[in-house]
Amino acid sequence: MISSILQIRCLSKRFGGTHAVREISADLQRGQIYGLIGPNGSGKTTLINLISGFYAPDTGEIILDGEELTRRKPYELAGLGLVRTFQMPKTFASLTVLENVLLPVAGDGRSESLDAMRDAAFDALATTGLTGMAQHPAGSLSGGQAMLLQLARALMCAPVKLLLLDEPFGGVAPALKERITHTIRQINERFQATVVLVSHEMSTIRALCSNVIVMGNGQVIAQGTLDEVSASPEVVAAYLGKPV
Amino acid sequence: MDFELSGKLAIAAAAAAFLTATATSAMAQANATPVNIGVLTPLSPPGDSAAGQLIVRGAELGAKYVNQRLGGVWNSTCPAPGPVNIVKGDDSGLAEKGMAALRSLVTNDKIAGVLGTYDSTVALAVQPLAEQYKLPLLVTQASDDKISGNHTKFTFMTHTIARDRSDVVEAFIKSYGFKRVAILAENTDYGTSSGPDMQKRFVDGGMSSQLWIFDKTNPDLLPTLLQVKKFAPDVIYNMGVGAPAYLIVKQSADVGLLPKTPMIISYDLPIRPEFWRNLGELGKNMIFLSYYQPKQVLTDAGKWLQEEYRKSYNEPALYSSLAAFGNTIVLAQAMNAACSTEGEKVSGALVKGGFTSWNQTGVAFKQSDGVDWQRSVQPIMVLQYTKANQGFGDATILYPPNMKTGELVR
Amino acid sequence: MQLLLQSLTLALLNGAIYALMAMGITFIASIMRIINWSTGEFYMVGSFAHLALLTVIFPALGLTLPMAWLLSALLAMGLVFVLGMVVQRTLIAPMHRPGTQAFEYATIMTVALSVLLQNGAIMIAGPNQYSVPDYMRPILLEDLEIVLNGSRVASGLAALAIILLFYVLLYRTSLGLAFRGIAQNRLAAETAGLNLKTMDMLAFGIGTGLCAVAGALLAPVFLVHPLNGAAATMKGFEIIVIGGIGSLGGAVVAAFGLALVEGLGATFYRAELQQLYGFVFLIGFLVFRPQGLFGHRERRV
Ligand SMILES: Nc1ncnc2c1ncn2[C@@H]1O[C@H](COP(=O)(O)OP(=O)(O)O)[C@@H](O)[C@H]1O
Ligand SMILES: [Mg+2]
Repeated sequence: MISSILQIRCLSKRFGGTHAVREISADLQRGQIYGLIGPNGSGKTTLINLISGFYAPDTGEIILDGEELTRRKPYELAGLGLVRTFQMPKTFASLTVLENVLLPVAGDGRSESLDAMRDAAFDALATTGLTGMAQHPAGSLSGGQAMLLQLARALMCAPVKLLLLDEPFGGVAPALKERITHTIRQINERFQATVVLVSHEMSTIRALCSNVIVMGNGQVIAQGTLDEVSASPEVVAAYLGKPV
Repeated sequence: MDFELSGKLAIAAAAAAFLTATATSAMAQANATPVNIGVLTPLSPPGDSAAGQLIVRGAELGAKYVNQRLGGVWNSTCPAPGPVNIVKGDDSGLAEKGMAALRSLVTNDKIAGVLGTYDSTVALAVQPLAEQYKLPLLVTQASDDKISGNHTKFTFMTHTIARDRSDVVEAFIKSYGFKRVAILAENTDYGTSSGPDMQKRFVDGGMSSQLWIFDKTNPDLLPTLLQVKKFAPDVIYNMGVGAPAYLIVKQSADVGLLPKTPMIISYDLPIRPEFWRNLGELGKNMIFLSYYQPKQVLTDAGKWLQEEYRKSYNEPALYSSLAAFGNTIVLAQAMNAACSTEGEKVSGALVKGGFTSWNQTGVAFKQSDGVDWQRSVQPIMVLQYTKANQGFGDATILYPPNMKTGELVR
Repeated sequence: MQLLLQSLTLALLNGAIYALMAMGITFIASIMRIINWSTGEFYMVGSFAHLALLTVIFPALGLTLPMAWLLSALLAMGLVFVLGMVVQRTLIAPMHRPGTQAFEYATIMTVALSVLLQNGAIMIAGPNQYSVPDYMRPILLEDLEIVLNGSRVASGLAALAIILLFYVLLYRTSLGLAFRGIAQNRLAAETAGLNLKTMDMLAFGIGTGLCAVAGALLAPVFLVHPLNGAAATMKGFEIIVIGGIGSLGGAVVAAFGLALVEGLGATFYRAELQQLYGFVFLIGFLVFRPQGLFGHRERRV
């Protein structure tokens, strides 16, 4: 069954003179993995930041599974099943890897003690291949491992409805890319989660994403399968930096 | 610069002066306007508003005494008798607030004299104003010896100064034969001036004495007291004021100095109601200085106050009230003697003297040398509690010899 | 020898209390990224609450318990915990928006608060000093010729126990994990679903509660009066700078270190310089190790 999970209406964000996101509207389906591509500076991160509540939009609205998100706090979004990772992994360096994974549970006011959540945490670590690192401080992880740790944390925020991944493969060792791809699939399958994946790696996009959204200059300039969008002259122009 | 008044101007000025004088005296006769007396005292923090409150009570009862018993000011011998009236001014214990309050008392309330100052900084700050306004200023409870040492014409010192206290402690310690005196003083003006002075007096008197100056903000005095213990004193002079005074007592007990070693507290802290609650048994043989002991002999005015105070406030009067009461009635008597509320004349009368306060008769403010300029000396007593939870009135008077009511308990 | 033993024991007991206050400051600083300048006043309020409970309210209720002082001190901590949360929510939170100009005002607000609390206390309680009955009789160690004030021993031990409980809270509970996460990275903690508004409020309550219980425990030793928090504020800040701002372990180690330096210096050199030893210790650290014992070279604020 295919149904709409995220609706974006006329979303805009300016930074001074820069119109980073201009009047974007989009409709994302439940359980799909979307690739979000576009040249540097085209507004991808800004869009992610708007959806995840880090920026307040100038105009427009965002509706996740029937809930209006625009004026909610980032911590409330986690409770609604919206999880994101950062381009520069944000982990808690002096907490152990296990504690990092448990942290989302610590804050949600659930009565289960940490001990009760430990199984789930180890499960998440197993999925991400970090079991061996459980008791190490997160500060000792490599960039790729830190990215995996963000994903393990996402696994704890069940049920995940929307997972936003901002360049999860940037500077990651090839062996770990495999693991990251695997974990993204896991989250997608386990929760029927919708995933938005920002990446420059076309091979991964091709492997993971049924659907690709292309941004240029703060707007969506094409949407479809990777092959469809690569054929679009507007996309080609955007990547070559020429005016359309 | 000299200049002569031109003839016309001189006549005009004289006429104006005459008119003003007759107008005011006519007004006074018509209305018997009350004579306002100012009480400038701390009534809000950071000043010691509790003391200020007691001072106001004493002054108000003083006015009542003057009006009921002395028939107001300017009675029988002078025309136009009038009641006296107390006007309050709040100095918050701060020099600048005190100056502002006094200005307002003079310009708005037309006070004929002021009393009540409690903090030395306030007294010293308003002293030049009193000169400027030719306003008699009776210093009720500030003790800096510069106040009288400044030799100003309108300031009258009625409180003790540091030297009086030192004299009494020195005489007391000598007369009871103590040989090793430990002195604990704060790092405040009071401690750093009186502390070394006391030590010098003891050493000059052939005793051995050691002085420890401690930081007033530091509540942990044990290291100091361990050193005191090593010195093995036969008496401890506790010059702490407020919290440190208590801390010295408590922590002396912690290191084992108390209860064996007699301790003298340099002021009347032990008469406060919380003394026994704070110290319990530790306060038992405490020796302390006081200006007052309820069983001491008082003047008739003093007795009247005791009674009235109890009626009004349901508790015995304390020194602050007595002192303010005394100041008020002395000031009224001086106005009466001068047949005037003019500052110059009242001041003249105060210097001449012969007034009755709460504990003394023949009060006068002679223009003597040094710190004794326009100062009436308050007697200071040395008292000792002999039982835990003893009332202030049951404390033994150890000193001066002519007031002595019992022996020192060790 | 006897003197040395006595001053070492005292340093240990003082250290525990110092640690309590310093942890209160550093905890708030590491969660909220503001320095609470009204620390000493919460200490003072704690001591007054304890005084009221132990000498007025308990007797009025006819309550006579062994160790009533401990119950009272803990209740005082609880009261100030609530007061701290209310104050945080009403006075500090509205300005506490990291990264904005208003953020600076949150710190200034704590300064204003200290004046407010101090004057309020003078207004209500007057300038006089109060004490509560001693918790324990003096402890006499005959062989060593040492007398120890029972209240100091009792309050020192209670302080140690509270420090331990606080560590259990931080390292063994999910709330503690959440606090440690926020201390590391507020933004990431928020994305992970932690409600910073609530957590800030709790942290301010806990931090002020820790200072308050120190004031309460010390009531028979250092008395209860409106200005008794001044020393606490000063000591507390010396300690957190020495220990490294935001480091709890550093605060604990520095607390005992400071107590030791002060005690030994005052006993064996000159007592009137007691407060100065702490400053010298502090300045030494500022010169040779400005980030403190366990601090990081840069502060992440
Ligand atoms: N916080 C910000 N302040 C100012 N300009 C910003 C900010 N974030 C992004 N921009 C600008 O907005 C545009 C889009 O940036 P971004 O969303 O990061 O692009 P992408 O992630 O697609 O590379 C860029 O021109 C960038 O400089
Ligand atoms: Mg980007």
